[in-house]
Amino acid sequence: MAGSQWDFPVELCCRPMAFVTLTGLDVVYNAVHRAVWDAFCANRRADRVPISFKVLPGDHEYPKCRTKRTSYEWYIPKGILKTGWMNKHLNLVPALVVVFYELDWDEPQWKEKQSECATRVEIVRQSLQGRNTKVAVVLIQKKTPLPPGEDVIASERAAALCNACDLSGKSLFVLPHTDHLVGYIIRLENAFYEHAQTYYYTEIRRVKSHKEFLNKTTHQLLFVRHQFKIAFFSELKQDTQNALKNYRTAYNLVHELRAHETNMLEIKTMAGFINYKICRLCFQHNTPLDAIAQFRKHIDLCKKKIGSAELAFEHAAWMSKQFQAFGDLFDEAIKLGLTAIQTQNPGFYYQQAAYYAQERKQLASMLCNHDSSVVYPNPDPLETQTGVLDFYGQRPWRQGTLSFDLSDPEKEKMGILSLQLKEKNVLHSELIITLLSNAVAQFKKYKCPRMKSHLMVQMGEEYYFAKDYAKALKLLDYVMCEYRSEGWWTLLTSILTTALKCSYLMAQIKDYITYSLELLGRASTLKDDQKSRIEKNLIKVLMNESPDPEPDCDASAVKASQKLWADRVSLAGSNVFTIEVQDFIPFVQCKAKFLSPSFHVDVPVQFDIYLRADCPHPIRFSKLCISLNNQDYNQYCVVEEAYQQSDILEQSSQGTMCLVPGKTRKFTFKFVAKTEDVGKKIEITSVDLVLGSESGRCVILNWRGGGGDAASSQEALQASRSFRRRPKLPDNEVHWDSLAIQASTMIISRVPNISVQLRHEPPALTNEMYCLIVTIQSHEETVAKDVKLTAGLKPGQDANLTQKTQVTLHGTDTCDDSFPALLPDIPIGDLQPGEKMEKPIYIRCGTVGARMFLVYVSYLINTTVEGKEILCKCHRDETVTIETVFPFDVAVKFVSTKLEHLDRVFVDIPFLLMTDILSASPWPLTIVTSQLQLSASMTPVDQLESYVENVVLQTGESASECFCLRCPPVTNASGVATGCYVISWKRSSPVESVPVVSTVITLPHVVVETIPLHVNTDLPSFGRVRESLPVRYHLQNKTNLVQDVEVSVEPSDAFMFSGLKQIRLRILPGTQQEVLYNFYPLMAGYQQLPSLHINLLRFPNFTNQLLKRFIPTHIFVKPQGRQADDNSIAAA
Amino acid sequence: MSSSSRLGGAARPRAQHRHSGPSTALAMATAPASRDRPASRDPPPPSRDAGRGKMAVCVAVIAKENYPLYIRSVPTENELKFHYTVHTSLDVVDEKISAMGKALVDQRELYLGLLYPTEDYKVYGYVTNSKVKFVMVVDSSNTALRDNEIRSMFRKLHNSYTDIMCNPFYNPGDRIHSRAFDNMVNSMMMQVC
Repeated sequence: MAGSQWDFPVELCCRPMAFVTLTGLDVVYNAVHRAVWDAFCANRRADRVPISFKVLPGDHEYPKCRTKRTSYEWYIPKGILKTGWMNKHLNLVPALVVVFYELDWDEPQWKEKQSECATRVEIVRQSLQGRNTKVAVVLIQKKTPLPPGEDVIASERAAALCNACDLSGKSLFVLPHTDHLVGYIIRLENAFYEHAQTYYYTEIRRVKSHKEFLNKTTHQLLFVRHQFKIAFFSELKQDTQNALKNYRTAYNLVHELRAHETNMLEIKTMAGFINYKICRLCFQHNTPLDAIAQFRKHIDLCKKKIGSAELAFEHAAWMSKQFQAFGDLFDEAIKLGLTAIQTQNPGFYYQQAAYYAQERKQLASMLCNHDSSVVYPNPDPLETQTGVLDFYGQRPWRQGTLSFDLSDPEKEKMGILSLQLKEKNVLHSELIITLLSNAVAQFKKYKCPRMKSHLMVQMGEEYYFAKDYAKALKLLDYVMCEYRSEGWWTLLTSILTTALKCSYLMAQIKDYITYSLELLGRASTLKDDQKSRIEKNLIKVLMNESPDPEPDCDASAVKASQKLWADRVSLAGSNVFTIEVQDFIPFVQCKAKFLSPSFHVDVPVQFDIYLRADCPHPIRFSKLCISLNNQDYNQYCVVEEAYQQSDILEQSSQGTMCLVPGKTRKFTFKFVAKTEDVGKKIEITSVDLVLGSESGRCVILNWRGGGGDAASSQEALQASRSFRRRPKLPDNEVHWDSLAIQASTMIISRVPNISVQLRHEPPALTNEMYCLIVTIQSHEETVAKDVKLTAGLKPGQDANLTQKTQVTLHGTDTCDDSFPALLPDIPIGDLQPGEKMEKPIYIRCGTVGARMFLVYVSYLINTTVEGKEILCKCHRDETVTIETVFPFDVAVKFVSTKLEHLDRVFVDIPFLLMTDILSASPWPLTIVTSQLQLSASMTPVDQLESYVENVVLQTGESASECFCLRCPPVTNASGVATGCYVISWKRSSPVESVPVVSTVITLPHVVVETIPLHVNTDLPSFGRVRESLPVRYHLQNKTNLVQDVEVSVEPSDAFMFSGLKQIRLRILPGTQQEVLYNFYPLMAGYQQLPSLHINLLRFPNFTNQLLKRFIPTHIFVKPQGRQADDNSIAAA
Repeated sequence: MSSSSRLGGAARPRAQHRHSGPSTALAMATAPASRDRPASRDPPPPSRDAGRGKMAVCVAVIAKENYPLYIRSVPTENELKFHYTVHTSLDVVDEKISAMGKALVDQRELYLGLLYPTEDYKVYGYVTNSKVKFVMVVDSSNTALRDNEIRSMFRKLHNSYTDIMCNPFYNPGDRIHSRAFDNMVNSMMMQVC
């Protein structure tokens, strides 16, 4: 390919490595030699020294060395750098020639072998005559050598061999062919590397030594050449720092050269080479900023050096190559670990390379537009004798000419012509696209989506120029949406215009229509005349005709496409194109709007479709149909009008189906919803607008949902923000912006015309049959049929409530847990207009708390909508929250016969159980009866009859009962069940007759203890001063033992007494003893009795304290009665 | 300019928009609470006196949602090219905004500096607190324009934009059609003679 002349030569781009040739190795037939060679060249990893090896025969002819010049006085160089020079030093002239020779130290025929080896070395030396190339000898030996100094023969023979071959001891090596071959080879090549470095060092010195002979006038080119050579040798020596330094010097020297149109290309070529080397080394030294700075300097210096105006495309090609090569270097450095950033990445360089490639294409099309009669010159001025150029960057027809004057203008003309004709055949677009796609890949990596899109647009345009319309369209279509979504209409329009051309030239009808639709739309920035042209073309396409060609299209391509269009016309089938518009911005806008977010089923559903065209001329459409999610309604949502094809562009706006630009057109649809759709959503799934007719071509614009396209959401947002006042419009017109899409509506049931009332007396009391009376009255004008009532706990509440709530219709019996919480669909029958009916419902709530109850009445009724009879289902529901409370609180306590609080009771000793019912109900309660159900461990002392029968309790009132009980001996002392207390009650004034509720209260357990002795006292209820007061203590032995009891009485100030002051008794088991005292009160008032002390000798733990509970301590003493007073009272 | 960004600067007096004319609003806006206005309005742009040559070739105002509110380029050149240049520069603007998102609002620098250099042009960016962007394209050969001058040009642009926002008839987010703004931009784009 012609473009490749701008590619850099391989030897420039490779990494220079020391060149070492190996001779005396037979790698084909000798296995040992093969192994040695493999060890040299296989698996060369980065840690091995940089050497390029080559196996050559021992008698290989190396390039001849020219005789050294002694003086430069008469020497005039013919160019800067010879084309073969780099390759020569990379691949032809070795730094070191190694002679391999199989020879062991104990070789029997040593003398013969030694001389053969010396001969081989001599042959190599002959071939390298005049060069500084080093020679080294490697002896391949079968035996492992002894450590140095131990093998006397070896050192002797080594010295002899060196002598015979004229080698220094450092150039003789031994390679034992043993197990550790690779290790030996690595040591060998390190030694070779040192020799090679010495060689390149001397080469650098040699080139430098020429410098003093040069003068600035005639040898300008040589300064550059020598500097380049020094730098290149430094690179071979792996001295990259000095290489860089010398390349920089060389670069400056190149720009000091006297430049003229004739040698401009040579200068630029060399500058490009040196710049490439500098940038490469900078990246290698990890100084990317230096590389970038050098490159910028290079571009700035060379940008204006165009050279021959007739070959200006060459400059563009060269510039493009510079950028591309730098991009490649940059990219390579990134692969090796450099981090690039968004604003400095290889993409920019590829992009710039692409721009120069585009410029090259433009210049080429301007400069190379020769007539087809112009023939390529013969003989070819670009041919050289050797087939290659001698110097880089020179013209083949005047190689080595240094004069700026053209000696042969005719030849020059021919040369330029041949270059121009060659350029004509270059596939520029291909180059440009490659570069652009390189750039795209980079920008994708560095987060530049817009730059990427931009480059893809350019790629698409380039494909368009290259007449690859399919690829162009693919790319453009791909990026279009980016510009559309960001609202860059100018750019979108430009892309669409190109896309339209592509689709025209390929006669892709659907694409052509799609792009036309958008170019006519409001997002297009085209002028009206353009829009008008596109609209006319669109109408032609709809009428099954060929459109006019797009402007600025290639004439031959237009011709081809006209034929395609003609073919399309003749094809009859597939003339319907459905275009989904929500992803772009077509010239017709659509908004659908239900008149209300919900409709009752007995009212017709209505919605409006608003259409608006943005194209320059009025346009007719043939059909508008709307699809709903329930397809049964679709038949009601169609507008259609048959019209002649010629009417399509009719200027009048009379027709219903004509859209006038800028005017909003409204279409109203109306249908009756089906009764089974009650509670469902009706949604517009799509709106189809049909342009054209089935007979010609037919385009269906399809809006998903209720209209709207790619731009409308942003427009709606702007409109909602706007607080601009809109001018008043006539009644039947609306502002497009103020319309909001409403694409769905709910169908709800008909408004019920019955009343539901609830009558009850809250709160409910726990476990009672709470009565809720539902009153239903029909206000319908016809019979409400199939009335059903659903009542009970509203679903969706706490699950525990469902367990603890029962609902029934029968209030006479108490319901149990098996009853449901909700009674569904209780049939009630029909209700005549105005009829009223009541239904009591009984609710039993087992726990306190709030509950929501639902009363739901449904019925069927016939009604007429739009002349259509429908059977509507109506319902009304009421919810009510009812609080449940405890009817009363019951308190229970144990007291002794002295009414003292007891925390325990004693075996066989009577005590009292007191119950206290405190009404908490806001309504009066009637206690029907109460019952004490004792457990087996309790026995009543007397009759257990209820004292609260038929007592009515108002709020806050309480009723108490008292039962005398006794506890027989028990084994379990910790706690004894007492039994239950059952209260039967009801509301005093129930709404209906309700059953009595029995509330069972479990009585608390009580601790029972046994005591050895019980004291029972007979004591009058009061005493009187100075009147005898007999007191009898009964001491009962409660044990099975005979008890010795000590009884003593402590005197009291308030009493005198007679009786035994201290006594010792013996009481047999189960019997009792009496102790009698006569107390004689001395003082009135509440007086302390002389206290009785009892000491049980058998139960030392039994304290007096316990007995005190049974023995009265105080008594009330009345003052002495006065007879006189009594008399006086009697007298009075 | 969206409502949400206006909420962001809650300290700003809402009354700004209700003032009858731009001139009154301008006087109002000297209060420090005015966030959407550059902090310092001096030094006065020196460019007016510094010669006609050193001016912008394209000036653009970009909405928060990245669609253009205003683009104007020198008429002698391909307008489309500048549209593309401004559009691609938003890559860098987006990146810079997201990078400084963490910085405190008060310390945020509105001027974004040089966005990216092309062979022929330099593109500079500026972003207001409400994420409205200003982009300015300057000829690469124009070395007379220094950073400071670019800064003051942006500040001028910002002030003029604020005046538009103060106009009660302007709906934030609409394309800008303002003669005052046109004139100001024209003064920045005085043609290279």
